[in-house]
Amino acid sequence: MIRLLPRFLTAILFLAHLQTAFAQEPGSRAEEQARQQEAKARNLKTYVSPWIEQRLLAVENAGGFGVARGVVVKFGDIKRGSGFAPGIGYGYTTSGGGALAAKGVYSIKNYKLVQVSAQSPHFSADRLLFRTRARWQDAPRVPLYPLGPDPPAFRTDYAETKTEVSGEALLKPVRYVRLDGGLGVEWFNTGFSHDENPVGLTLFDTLPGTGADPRYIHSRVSGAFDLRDSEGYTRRGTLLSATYHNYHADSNGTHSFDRVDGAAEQYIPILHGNWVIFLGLWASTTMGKDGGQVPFFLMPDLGGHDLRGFSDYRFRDRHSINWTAEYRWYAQEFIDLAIFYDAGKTVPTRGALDFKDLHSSIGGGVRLHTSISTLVRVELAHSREGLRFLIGFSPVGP
Amino acid sequence: MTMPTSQCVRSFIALTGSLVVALAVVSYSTYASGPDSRKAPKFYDDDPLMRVVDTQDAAKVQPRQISLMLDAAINLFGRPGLQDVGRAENVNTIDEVPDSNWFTNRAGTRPFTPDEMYRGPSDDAGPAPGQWTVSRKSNGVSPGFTITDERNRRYFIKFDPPGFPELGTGAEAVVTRLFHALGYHVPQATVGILRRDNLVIGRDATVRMPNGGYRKMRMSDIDEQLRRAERSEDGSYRVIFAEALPGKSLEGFKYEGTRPDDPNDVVAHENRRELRGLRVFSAWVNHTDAKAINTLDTLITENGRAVVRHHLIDFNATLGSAGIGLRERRDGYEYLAETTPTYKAMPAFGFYLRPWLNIHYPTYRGIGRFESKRFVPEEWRPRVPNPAYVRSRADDTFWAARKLMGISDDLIRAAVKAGHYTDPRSEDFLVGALIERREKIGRAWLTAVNPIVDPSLSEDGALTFRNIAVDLQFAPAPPGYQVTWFRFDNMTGESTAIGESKISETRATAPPDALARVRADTTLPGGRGQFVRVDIAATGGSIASWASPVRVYFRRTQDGWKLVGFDRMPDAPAMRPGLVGAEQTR
Repeated sequence: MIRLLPRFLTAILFLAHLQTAFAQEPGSRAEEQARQQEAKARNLKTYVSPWIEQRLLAVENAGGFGVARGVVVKFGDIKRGSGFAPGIGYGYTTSGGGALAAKGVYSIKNYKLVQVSAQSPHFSADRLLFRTRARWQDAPRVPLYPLGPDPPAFRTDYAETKTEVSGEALLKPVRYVRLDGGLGVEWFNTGFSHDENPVGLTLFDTLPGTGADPRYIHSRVSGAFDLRDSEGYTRRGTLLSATYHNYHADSNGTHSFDRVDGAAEQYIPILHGNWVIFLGLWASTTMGKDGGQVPFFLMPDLGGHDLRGFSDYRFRDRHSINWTAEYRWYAQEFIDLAIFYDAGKTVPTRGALDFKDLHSSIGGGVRLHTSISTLVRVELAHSREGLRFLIGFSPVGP
Repeated sequence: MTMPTSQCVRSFIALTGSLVVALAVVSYSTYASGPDSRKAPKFYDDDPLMRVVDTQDAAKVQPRQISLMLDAAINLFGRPGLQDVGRAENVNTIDEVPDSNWFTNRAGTRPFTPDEMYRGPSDDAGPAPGQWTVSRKSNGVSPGFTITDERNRRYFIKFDPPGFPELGTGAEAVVTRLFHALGYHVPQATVGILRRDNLVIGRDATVRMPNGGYRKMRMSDIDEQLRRAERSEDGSYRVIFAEALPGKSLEGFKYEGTRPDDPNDVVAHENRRELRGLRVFSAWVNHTDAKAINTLDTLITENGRAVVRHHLIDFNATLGSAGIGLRERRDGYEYLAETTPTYKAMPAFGFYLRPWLNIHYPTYRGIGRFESKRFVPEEWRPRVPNPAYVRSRADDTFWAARKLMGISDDLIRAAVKAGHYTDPRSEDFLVGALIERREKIGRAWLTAVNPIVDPSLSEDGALTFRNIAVDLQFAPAPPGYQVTWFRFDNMTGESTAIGESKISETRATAPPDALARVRADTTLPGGRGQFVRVDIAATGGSIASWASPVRVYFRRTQDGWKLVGFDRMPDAPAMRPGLVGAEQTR
C-alpha cells in the first residue's frame, strides 16, 4: 500500500490542478474583468515616490527653487574670473516669508567666499524689501593690466580680499520703477601675487590704492525705469538705470571717491520675439573727493563679460563706456542663439568718454534660459587679442 | 489460478491508481496542449460589454502627489510607459469604450440636448447668495480660494488673469461642458460674480507660510489673491465656481502605468482608448495642458464599495487662454522642447520661421489666442508629450473623431453660451471656430482609416453599413466595397471563407446558403457555429487606408444577428510611441 501511495497522491494532485485550471476559465467578459481586478487586489502595492520625485515635490511645495530651505548646492557669486565655483549653502525661510541663508563657495582658481545673509519678508504688497549680508571673499589671482585707454597686453595678477557688512532696501513704488539704497562697510586688502612674474610688481606698485587697504563706508542709491519682462531674461522692454555710489574711506581719506554707473538697454522683438535686437549702453565714471585717488581695484573695468573678446579686467581706468549690439534668435522655448558686437574703452578723464577709438569684439553663442532667468550663456568671442570661450550665468551686461 | 485476497485488493488498487494517473495525465495533456479545449472563446455571451464594473474595494488607495517638474521632464525627454503600441486595451469587442469610472458615453451615444449641455455636469449653479466662508487659498501661480456656502457646499474659485477679462473663466465654463458631453468625468464649473464682501474667513482657515508651516488666514491674504485677479470696474470679480467633487481626493492620475494600490485599475493608462482619444478632443479645444496634475482621482462609494473615479480638471488653460494670460503662440504647435525644429532653427539665424509665428488671432474680449483657419489636427500637440497621446493609433483617433461628430452645432452653441461672454462677437467667433475645428478633425481622422460604421446583418442576410466619412462629406465615396464572408469558430478563432461579393453601395447580401449553413451549425458546443465574420474594405478609392478591411462579427441570437465584434485595424502593423501619435515600427 505504501508503494501505491505516491501514485494516488500524484493522481489527486493532477485532478485538483485540472479542476483549478478549468475553474479559472471565466464564463463571461464581466467575470474575466472581475478576475483581473481580483488578481490585482491580491498583489496591491503602495506607491512610493522615487527619491528624485520626493526632492522635487519638496521644492514645488515650498514654492520653487527660489525659496530657501535646507542644504543646497551653490555655484558662483564670487568675484568675476573665479572660474567654476561650486559650494554648499543652507537656507531657512521664516514663517513671515523672510529668509536666512549661509553659503561657502570654493573655485577651481582657489577663490573663496563665505557669506551669511538675511532677507525680510516683502512688505506693502510686495513693494518693499530689506536685505543684509556679511561676506568675506578671497580672490588670490585677479588679472591686472596697466591702466589707460589702450594699455599693452602685459598681464600680471594681484590678490584681493574683501570683507563686507551691508544692508539695502529695495522699493518698487509703481510697477515699472525700482529704487534702492544701501549702506555698508567694506574692507579691502590687496597684494601682489608673488608667484607671478616679478616684473609685474613694478606695475602693481605704481597703481593708485596699492598698499592702502582702505576701509570704506559705502553708500549707494539707484533708480531704474524697467519695462523688461524680467531682470533675468527678457525678449522685450527697456531699462534705464543710474546708480550713485559714495565710497568714504574712513581710515585713509585720500581714497574717498564717488562713482556713477548708468545703463540704457533696449530689447526690440521682431515677429513676436523670433528675433530680438538688443542694444545696450553702459557708462561709469568716478570722482576722487578732495583730491583723493580712486583705488585701481574699484575703478571701472571692461573685458570678459562686457567686452567679450578681451580677457577679464583687460581695461581699467577712472571712467568707462561700452555698448553692445546683439542679434538673438529663437531656437526653442529654452534656447536662444545670438551674434553680437561689443565695443568700449576705459579712459582717465571724463572728457574722453566718447565713441572714438573703442576696442571691439564680435562673437556668437547659445543661451539656455527659462522665461525669467538666464541659466547659462556659452559664447565664443573674437577680438584683436584672439579668440575667447566664455561661460556666463547671467544676462549680458555689467 | 488463485490469488490471496490481500493481493487481489492490492492489484485492484494498483490498477485503479494507474488508470487514474493515466487519465489525469492524458486529460492534463489535452488541456495543456489543445487550443480547442483551453483557449478562452473570442466572444462571451455578454459581449459587447457596455459597462465595466469595479468589483474590488479600493478603500486602501492612498493620495499620491505627482511632481509637476518630474512629470514634465520625463515626458519631454523620454517616453514612459509600454513601448509596444497595440490596440487600446479597454475597448469592448465592438471597439467602443464601455462606461466606467473613467468615462461615460453621452453625446453621440444617447440623445443629448442643448439644455443638458448648457447645464453641465450637474444641476449646481454656483454657491447660494450670501456669505461664503473661505477655508483655503491657492498656493499656485493662479489666484484662487476654496469656499463653502450657507448650504455647506464647497467650491473652488478661479479668476481671470489681470488684463484679460473673461479669458480663463470663459474657457473653463465652455470646455468643462464640452468634455462632460464627450464623456469625461469633470467637476461642474459655473461663471459667477464675487465681491470681496461675500467672503468671510473660516474659523479654521489657515494659510501655508513660506517656511511650510501654517497660520490663521487673514483678510490681507484674501486681498493678496484678489490683487492678482482681473477686477471689474464696479469692484467685483468674474469667477468660476468649480463645484468640489464628492469623495476623498487621491490627487491626480498619471497618463502611463496604473495606480499600484487601486485593485480595479488594471489597464495601463497609456493603453486606455479614452485617454488616447483625448488627443483629439484636446486638439479641438486647444487643451495643451492635459498633464497629470490637471487630473483628479476621488474615492467614492459605488454599489456599497469604495472605488476610484477619475476626473479631468482645470480647463482654464484651454481655447485661447493659458490660465495666467494669453497662451503662448507655440502652444498647440510645438512641444516645449522639440528637437527637429530646434536643430533647424539653430543654424538658420532666425530665418527658420515657424508656421505659428504669423498666425492672426482675433481681438474679441475673452477669446485670446484661439482660431481655426491654421489649425491642423494631425500636427497639433500639447506643451509636453502625453504618454497616451503618443500611442494613439488611427482607430483611437477615429473613435474620438466620431464621438466629436456627436457634438452638433447646437450643442457647441449651448456650451459657448455657458461661457457668458459679454460681447456677442466673442460668442459667435468661438462657436464658429469650434465648428470649423471639429470639421477639420473629421476630415483628418475619420478618413485616416477605413471609416465603416454601424454594420448590421438582417435575418434574411442583408448586410448594411455606413461610411461615416462619406456620409459627413469629408471624403468622396469609393467606387465600391469588397465584402468577404467567413464562418467563424468562436472557440478556436478559426475563420473559414464562405463567399465574397463586390458591391457599389453600402449594402450587401450574404452568399446563398452561407448563413443557412452557419445556422445549421448552432448545435455545435461552445457556440462554435453561431458566428459569422464579415470583412469590409473599400475598393478603387483614392484613400489607400480604406482598402484595409474592417472585421465585423455577428452572433446568431433568437432575435436575429447581433453585432458582437468590430476591429477597425485587424491587420495593424507593429507600432511604437511616436512624436504626436503612434508610429509604425521600422
